[in-house]
Amino acid sequence: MSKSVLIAGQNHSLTDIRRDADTIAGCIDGDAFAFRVIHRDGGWLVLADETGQQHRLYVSASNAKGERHVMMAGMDVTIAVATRNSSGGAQTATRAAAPMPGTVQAIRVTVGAAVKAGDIVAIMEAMKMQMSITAPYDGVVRAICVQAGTQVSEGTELVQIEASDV
Amino acid sequence: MRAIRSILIANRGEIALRIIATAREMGIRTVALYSTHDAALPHRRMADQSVHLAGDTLAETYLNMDAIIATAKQSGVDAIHPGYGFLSENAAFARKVADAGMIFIGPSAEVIAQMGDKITAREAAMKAGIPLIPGYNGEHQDAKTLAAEAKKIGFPVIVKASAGGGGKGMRVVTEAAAFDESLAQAKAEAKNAFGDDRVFVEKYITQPRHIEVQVFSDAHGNHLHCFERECSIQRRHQKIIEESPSPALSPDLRQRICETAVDIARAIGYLGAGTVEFIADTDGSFYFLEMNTRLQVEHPVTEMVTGLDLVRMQIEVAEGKLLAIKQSDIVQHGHAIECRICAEDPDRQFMPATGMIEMVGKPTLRHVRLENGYEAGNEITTHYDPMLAKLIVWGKTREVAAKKLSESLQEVVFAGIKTNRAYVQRILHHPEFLKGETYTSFVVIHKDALEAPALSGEMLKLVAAAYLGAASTASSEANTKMTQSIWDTPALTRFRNVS
Repeated sequence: MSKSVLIAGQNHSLTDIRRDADTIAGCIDGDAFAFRVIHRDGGWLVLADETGQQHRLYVSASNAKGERHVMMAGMDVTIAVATRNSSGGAQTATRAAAPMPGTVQAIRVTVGAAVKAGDIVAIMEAMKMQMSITAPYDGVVRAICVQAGTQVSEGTELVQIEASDV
Repeated sequence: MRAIRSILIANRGEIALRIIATAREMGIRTVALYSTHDAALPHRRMADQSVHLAGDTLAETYLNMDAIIATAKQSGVDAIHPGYGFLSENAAFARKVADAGMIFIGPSAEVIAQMGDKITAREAAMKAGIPLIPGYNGEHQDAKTLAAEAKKIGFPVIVKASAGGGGKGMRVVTEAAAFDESLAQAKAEAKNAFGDDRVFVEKYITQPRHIEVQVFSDAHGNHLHCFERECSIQRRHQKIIEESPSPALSPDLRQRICETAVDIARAIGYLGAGTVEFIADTDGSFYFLEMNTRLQVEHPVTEMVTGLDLVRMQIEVAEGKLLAIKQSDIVQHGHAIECRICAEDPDRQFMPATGMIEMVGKPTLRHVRLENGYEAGNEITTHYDPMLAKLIVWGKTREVAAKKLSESLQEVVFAGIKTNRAYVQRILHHPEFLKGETYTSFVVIHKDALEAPALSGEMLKLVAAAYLGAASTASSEANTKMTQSIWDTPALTRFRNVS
């Protein structure tokens, strides 16, 4: 059984082969892997590869967006099951919305404009920083929901984009 | 002399815990404050008493001078420790505390005001003979005067807009011939951005390092230093990594910078812990930037190389005691490096991160200090500073310390929330960092190298395996969900044994 997963913003195909108390085996993008489970405690996991090298890592619980974070070897990797609205970019957001409370500085698109996933649609200011709000998928701008200068709360949709079938 | 037997901590999180730790060692009673947002934070329960500050905003809570002083009086404390940030450099607060008959752990309100104002601070530095960045900030704004001033300063210079910052109206000029054109551009940009085309001209430091000196003064005219820290690894003027000793200073330069810092503490009649910040250039020149009249975030770095307890020293000098040590007693031993773990997403322009902490993790190597204000179950919001914790390590050499910090950072996972940990790791592994080539422009110059790399084939397999492994645990957990106790939820485990 194989599924599409987003790992660090890139799509991969993941196949589950075997999972039990001692082993985790699968296939990613056609590459097979098998690890021995040395230790498991909550999110902590120690896996040994075929050379016997042990790898210590932590997997966080699934968050509201269905993402988990794998922390190991100095890296923090986000992994989630891919959905139709997810693009190849690092974002898995499904709306062009304010990620936190702040002020809309500028709207960069007009109604009717075609956008591609990752295109900047608005600029926001929050916590003394400027941030770009991007289109989560390819589509057409259906409505501008807020004007520049407006203070918005977290989750407020800034630009309504209708997804176009790819 | 006035004994301090009880302290109210006008702060929160890791610094409140830090102060409580030393107070416990000294047998001093502590009173902690907490806002509604902070009710579940560990600093609240680690004190002898905790008092709720009602309100949603900082103004209603941790910045509420009157409420804090009223609480302190009601609790009958001898002293208030302001920590860092918040009211620590608020002269009005220091004055109010003294007027209310309590000891403010820090310098006098007058000194706070003096060094808190950029102009009077620079005047104090100049008077003490401390070098300032050569510059011209005068009324004459004509091209001829400014060009002459630039020549006097010596190239390279930087032209900066007087009305604002953020890089607007700024031009670096490397030679006299380019000055007029650059000046015109800077003025036009400044006019456009701020409606004001006035500029000032300063010497441009090409490879600046942020070197700061920890100073300490008692009430009997004794002023000493606890050596320096280098804090050049910064992003948008926010420090990320701090260390001591600075890899850039020769013993002679170190002595000169440290003695210069003591000179200023002496000149202003300082009391308590303070930090004098300098900008140092590669040619051995250094210039006064500002003085922070409080304990700094990165003070543990100094503690780990000198063996001193700076909070204890703060309390003792606030009691009126003589500093217990002489300058010759203070020695730098080995190397300490600190990194700040912040709730921010380095892959999304360092946007502040929110969420519930699932697991903090524990460092297991020796000589590692985790100064942490949160625990599993705590909710991180955007109400407060995104810094979650500080991780400080000591090693015999800088190389050992850097490696140890990297290893320890892997153990302190802060699962459940996005942090800058992986970004810090990339800095710690960068060859220029390891060589000590640390300048305040580091993260900008090495921006590309500091981006998250693509996953190697091996890493990808591990991540995939971890995901499958977690998914299998989750599904078996889901099956046993109904039989699992509600007390196993991270936020509630500490109530498990409460009857």
